[in-house]
Amino acid sequence: MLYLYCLAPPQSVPPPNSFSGIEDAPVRVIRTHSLLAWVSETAQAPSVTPDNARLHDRVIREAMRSETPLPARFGQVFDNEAALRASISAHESALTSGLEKVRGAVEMTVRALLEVRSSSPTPAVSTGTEYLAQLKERQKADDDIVEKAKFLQWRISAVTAPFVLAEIMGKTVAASRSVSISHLVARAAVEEYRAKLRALRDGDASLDFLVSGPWAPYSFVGIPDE
Amino acid sequence: MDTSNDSLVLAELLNHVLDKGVVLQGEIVISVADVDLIKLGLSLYLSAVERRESMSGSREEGGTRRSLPSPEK
Repeated sequence: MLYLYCLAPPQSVPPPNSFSGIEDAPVRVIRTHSLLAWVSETAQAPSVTPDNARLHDRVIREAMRSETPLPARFGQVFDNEAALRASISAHESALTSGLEKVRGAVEMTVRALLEVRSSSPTPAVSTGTEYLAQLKERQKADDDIVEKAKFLQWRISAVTAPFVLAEIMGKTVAASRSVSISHLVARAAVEEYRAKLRALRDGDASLDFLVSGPWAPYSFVGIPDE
Repeated sequence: MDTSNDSLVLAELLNHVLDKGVVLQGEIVISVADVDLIKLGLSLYLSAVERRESMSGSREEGGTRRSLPSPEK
């Protein structure tokens, strides 16, 4: 079976001969009409472990050294080369467009934890009225998180807009009190992008967020239904 | 390397590779080795941030906040 890491432009540099991926299997490319598929041999779909996740991303980062690829989601295996070629062929137009969209760019992710109004400890409820009151309080707290998330996203977008080619707002997860924003940024603009966010954070003690990247453009490569 | 940052980087890595990226197949069969890694990733993230906050001190005391390193090498 073949394990898929990413799909790179046809002009990109293949992996070095000694380069290996998951299960220490050598990584090679399969050349199609319009792209290079980075793959390795595998007996079965790999388990989801931190090491395998790192190896998956590591291979993609190697591909990124020359050209920005379309990173594959973890876990995709194909029975053989013919099956992989058939899948690629079925989505060729979208893949080609996708490669063009991310050319010369990387993904940066901003993740923020949101402070919420501290609520008093949840007392035990003994009546329906108390239960409904508690529900209402929880809903207010969740609404508060959503509003804070929108405001934070707006502030981040305002300073990064000149450097951002595309933006995806993550769903605000009220339970985790976190919000994320993914940006597609030209490689040459990454340092300025970071500097703007650093200045924003340093200038406002109420803001708390983390910037990660550059990543391969995981968030910007979905294949639309064809 | 700072343990809290390790956890944050891992959580972000899992969020990217497991939840995003090109999908050529209709279904992806993922075998989970031990635990629910998505839930673990989020837990790592939250606990790592809490640890970071308790370790870094206040801004005025010189606590630093920095970008996450990319999880390479």
